[in-house]
Amino acid sequence: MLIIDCPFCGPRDEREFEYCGPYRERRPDKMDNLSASDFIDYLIVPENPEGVGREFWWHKRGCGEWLLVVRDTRTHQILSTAEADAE
Amino acid sequence: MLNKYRLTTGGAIDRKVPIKFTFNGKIIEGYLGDTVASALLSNGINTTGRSFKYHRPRGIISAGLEEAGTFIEVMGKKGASSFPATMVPIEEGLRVKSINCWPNPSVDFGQVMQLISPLIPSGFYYKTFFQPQWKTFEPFIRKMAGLADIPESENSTTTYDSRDTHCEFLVIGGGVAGLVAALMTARTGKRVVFVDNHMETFGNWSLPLNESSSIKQWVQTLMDELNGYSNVRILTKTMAWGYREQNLVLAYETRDVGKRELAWRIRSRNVILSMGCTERGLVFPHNDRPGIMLASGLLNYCRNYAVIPGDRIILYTNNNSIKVLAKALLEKGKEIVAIIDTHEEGLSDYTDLPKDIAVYSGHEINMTTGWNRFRTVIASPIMGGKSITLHGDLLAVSGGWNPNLQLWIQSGGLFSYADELATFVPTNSEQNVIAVGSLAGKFDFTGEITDTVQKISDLITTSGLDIKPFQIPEIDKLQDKYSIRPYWESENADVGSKSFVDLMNDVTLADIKLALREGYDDIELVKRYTTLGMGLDQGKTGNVNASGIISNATGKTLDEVGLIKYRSPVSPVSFGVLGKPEGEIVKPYKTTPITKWNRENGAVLYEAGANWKRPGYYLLRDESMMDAINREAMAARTGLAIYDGSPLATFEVKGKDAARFLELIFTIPIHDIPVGMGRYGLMLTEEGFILDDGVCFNMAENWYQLSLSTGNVDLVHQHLEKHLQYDFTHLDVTLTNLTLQWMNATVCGSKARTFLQQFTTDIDLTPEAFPFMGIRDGEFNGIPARIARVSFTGELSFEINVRPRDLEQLWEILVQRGDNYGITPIGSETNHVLRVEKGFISLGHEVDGKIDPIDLGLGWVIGKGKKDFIGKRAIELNRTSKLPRKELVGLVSRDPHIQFAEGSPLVASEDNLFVEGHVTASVWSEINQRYVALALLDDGRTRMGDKVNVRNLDGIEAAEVTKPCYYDREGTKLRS
Repeated sequence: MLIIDCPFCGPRDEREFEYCGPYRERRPDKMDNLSASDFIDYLIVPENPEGVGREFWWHKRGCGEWLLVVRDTRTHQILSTAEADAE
Repeated sequence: MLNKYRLTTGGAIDRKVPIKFTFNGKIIEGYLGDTVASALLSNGINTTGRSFKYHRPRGIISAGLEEAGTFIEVMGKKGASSFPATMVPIEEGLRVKSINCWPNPSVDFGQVMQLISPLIPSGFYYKTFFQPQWKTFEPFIRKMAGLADIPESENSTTTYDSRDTHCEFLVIGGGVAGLVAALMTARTGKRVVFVDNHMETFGNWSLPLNESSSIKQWVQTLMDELNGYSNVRILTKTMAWGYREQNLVLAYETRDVGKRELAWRIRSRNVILSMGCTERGLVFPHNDRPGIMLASGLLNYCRNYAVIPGDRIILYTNNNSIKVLAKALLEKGKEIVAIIDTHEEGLSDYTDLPKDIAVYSGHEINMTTGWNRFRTVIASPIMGGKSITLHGDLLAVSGGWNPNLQLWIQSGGLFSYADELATFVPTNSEQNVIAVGSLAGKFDFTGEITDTVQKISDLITTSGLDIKPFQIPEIDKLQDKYSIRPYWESENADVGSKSFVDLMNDVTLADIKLALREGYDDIELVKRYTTLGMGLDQGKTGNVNASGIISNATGKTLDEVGLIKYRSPVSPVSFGVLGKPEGEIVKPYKTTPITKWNRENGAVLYEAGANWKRPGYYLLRDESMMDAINREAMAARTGLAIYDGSPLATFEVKGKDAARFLELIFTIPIHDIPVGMGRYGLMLTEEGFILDDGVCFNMAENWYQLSLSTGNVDLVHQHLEKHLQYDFTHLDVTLTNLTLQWMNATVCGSKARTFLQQFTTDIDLTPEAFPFMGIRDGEFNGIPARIARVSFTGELSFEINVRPRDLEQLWEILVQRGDNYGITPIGSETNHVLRVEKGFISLGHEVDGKIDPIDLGLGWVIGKGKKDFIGKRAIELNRTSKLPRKELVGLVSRDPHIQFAEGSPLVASEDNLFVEGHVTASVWSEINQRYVALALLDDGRTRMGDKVNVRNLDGIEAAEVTKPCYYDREGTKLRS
C-alpha cells in the first residue's frame, strides 16, 4: 500500500485515494475534427511504461482533488504528486 | 512406551504438565512446551506424513518454519489447514491429522503412486491429461495430490482482527543482531517495533558455532534494558510475512492460537531485517526417508525439547557446523556411528571429538534404505573406491547455511553469491531497509555484532538522531570459524534413484535436469516446470541447492543463475486474518432514517447497491415472499403505495457554466429544460458505455440537480470530478454530492394526488400547476420539502424529498393518514416487478459494456442537434459496423405460468444453439396474471411478433417477441 503525498493534505494512506487510470491527454475540444484513428488513440491507447509512468489518483476521502502522480512501476517510488490540471 | 525418546533432564518443556492430544485419531502424550512435531518424535512416531506427488513416507525434518516434511491440519472449532507440525504448540484436547494421506501415513492408499513413479516425470500431468480436457482429470489428481481439507467446523471460535501501526524503526527477527539493533534504535527515543516469530526467546543465533555462555548473560542485560523503554513495542509470536512498497510490512500475530489472530500492517521509515539463516539439506539418493533430519533440527529438539529420536546416529555434512551437534549428542550419551564429510581431510577439524568416532572424509552417500524408518546408508569415496555400509536409526544432515532472504528479496533487495559461504547474501535494496546479522552473511559472532553496531550507528546518524555509544562485549573463545565447500549433488549416484531437492513438492534432481534438457534453462522457468520451491515451505531448505545444481549443469556462475524469487507469504497465513475483519464493523451498511420503522413492520432488508440496506418487501403475518410482492405490486397499480427512495444518488451542479458542463455529461439537451422541470437522460463514458441514467432538474438559473441510480454513485462521482477537474477546467462549475442530504418518501398510485392534497402544503399539486417531470420547493405538512414528479413505477408518483432528520416524521404521518386509502409500503423487489412491467431499464440488468442507448430504444434521449457529449463519437464509431445489435425487447411465453430464468440464452432453434440474445429480467406480473420478461435480442426491434427459443433451465421454451412494455404503453398514468 502506497503513501501518497497529497499537495493539499500531506502524506496520506492509499486507502484515502481512488486510482483512476493511467495518464491521458485532456479531452480534445473539437471531438468531431479528430480522425477516427486519432480518436481511438486518445481513447484506448494509454501509457503503460515499465519504469516511470504518470497516473491519475483522486483524493476521494480527503480533499477531493484530482491528482497526477508520477510513479516508478518497478519500485513503486512516487517521484511527484501534483494537481492534475497544473500546467 | 510413552516418551521413549525423551531425555530425563533438560529442555524448555514442563515435565510436570503432561498434555494429551490426538494425531490421526491416536492419543499422544507430550508436555507443556512441546510442539506437535517434538511430541511425535519423543513418542517414536517416525512416519508423520506422505509426500505430495509420490506419496512416499515422510517424517519430521526440522524444528522450524523451514519444515518441508510434515504438514498437519488442525481439526475442530479451531480448525486450520496446512501448518508445519513444527510450529503448532500442543494443548489439551488438540486434534490434528496429517495431510495428503489416507487412511493414515503408515498405510497410505496413494502409495501405489510410487510403483508408477518412473512413469510420471515433471510436467507429466500437463502433458498427459491435456486431452481431451484437463478438467476431466483434475478432481482425481487433486484428491491424490491435495493439501488439507476445508476445516470441518463451519464456525471457527478464533476471532480475527487487524491493526495498523507506524514507527521510525522496525526490527524483524529477535536474534542477537536484531536485539542489538532494537536496543540501539530504542535509545533514540523514537518509535520502535520489534517483531519475532518465537514466543519469548530473544538474542539467539542461527549458527550453532556461535554459542557461548557469556553471550547468554549479556543478552539478558540487553533484554532487561529493552523492556524498560516505553517507545518500543515488542511483538512476539509474530511472523513478518510480506514486504510491500514504501516499507509496509505485513505481519501475522498468533500469540493466542485458536483464540485470536491478528494481521499487522506496519509502516516504518526504516526496516532492519535480522532474520538469521536456515540450514539447507544435501541432495543424495533417497534423502527423504523418515529418520533423516536437518542437523539444526535435531540440535533444536535435543536442546529445547529434550528429544533425540534415535540411538545410533549418523552425521552427514559438507561444513563444520555439524560438530556442535556431535558434541551435544555425545554429551547426552548417544552413540555416533559415523560422520560422513564430503570433503577431503583438512577442511574440518574433528580432532576435538573422541577418537573412536569414525570419520569418512571425502565420502558421499550413494544410497539409503528403510521404508518407514531410515536403516542404513551406503557411502563411498567421491574420488572412487570401496563402498561402506553403515547401520543406524537417525541420519542428521547439514548442507550449509542460507541467509533468510525472503523479505529482503520482497523489498526489492538484490543479492550476490558469496564463495566463502557457498550461498547468497544481500547487497542493496530500493527501499529503506538494511540487513544485519547472519542474514547479512556475517556468520561469526564478533563480526556479526561489530557489523550490526556499525550499520545501525550509520542509520541513526543519517536519520539525524543522536547516537549513544554501544559497548561490544568481550566474548569467550568461540568455536571454530564456519567453513564450507559447496556440494550441490552426489557425483556418483544411480541416475534412476530419487534425490530430492524440494521435499515438500517432490521435486528431484532428475526433474531439474529434465527441465533443463527440455529447454527451461532459466531458474524461474525450472520453477514453473517442476514446481520447485512452490510448496508451503517456499523452498526454504532446497532452493539454493537448486541454484547450485543448475549452475553445475549449465556452466553458468551462481550469480548468473540467481535464486528463485521468494514471494509472500514467507510461511502460510490463515485466511481468517487476511479476510477479516469483515462485514459491518469495517464496511457498515448505510441505512435510511426509517430503518427502525421498516424492521418493526416486517421489512426484509437487502443490500441494494452502494452498501445501502433497504427493504426488499414487507412480510405480513404468514405471507410468502411471492404473496407479499404481489400484494405490494397490486397496491401500487390499483391504489396507493409508498416507498423509501432515499438511497438514490443526488448531485447538485451550480455555476455559470453548469448547463454547458451538463450538456457534455448527458446525452440529452440541457439548455432548454425549463426552470422547475427535469429531463430523463443517460450519462455515457467516453467509450460509449452507459454509465448511469437519471433525471436532470433545472432548479433555477445556473443551478441543476441530478437524481441518479443508487448503485453507481461512486463511479459517477469520479466521472464528474474527473471531467470537472481535468478536462473542462475552463468551466465555472461546482459539484456537490447531496446523496446523504436528501432523503425521500415516494408516494405512488392513481390515488396519490387526492391523498397528498389532504395535507397542508404551499405546493400546488394539480396536474396543470405541477406536471410530470416537474420539481417544486415548499413546505409539506410543516416540513421543508422538495417534491419531484418522477416515476420509476409507471404510476402517478410524487417523490417527497426532505432533510434526513424529517423523514421519519414524514413517513409516519403519511402511513398513518394513508390508512383510509389502503396505503402500502413496498420494497425494492416490488419496484423491480413494476419497472419490468413498464420496460424501464436497470443498470446491471439491461445495460452492459456493449449496449448503447439506441439498443435500449432510448435513441430519443440522444439530443439530435447536440454537437458533442461524452461518448457521442464512440457510439458513432461503433455503429459504423453492420453487425446485428442487441436490442431491448419483451418476451412472453405461450403458457402464462412458464417463467424464463433470468440470464437464459436465446437460441436459434432446438438444434442450432447459436446464441442471439439473453433474458435480462423476468418476473410474475400480478396485474397481467402472467410471467413477463425483458431480453436483449439481435436486431430485436425488427422482429416484433416473431417466435424465438429460450434455452431455459429445463429445456427449450418458445417465446414471442413483443414491445418491452406490459403496462400502460401510452404512459397516461404516470403523466396524469
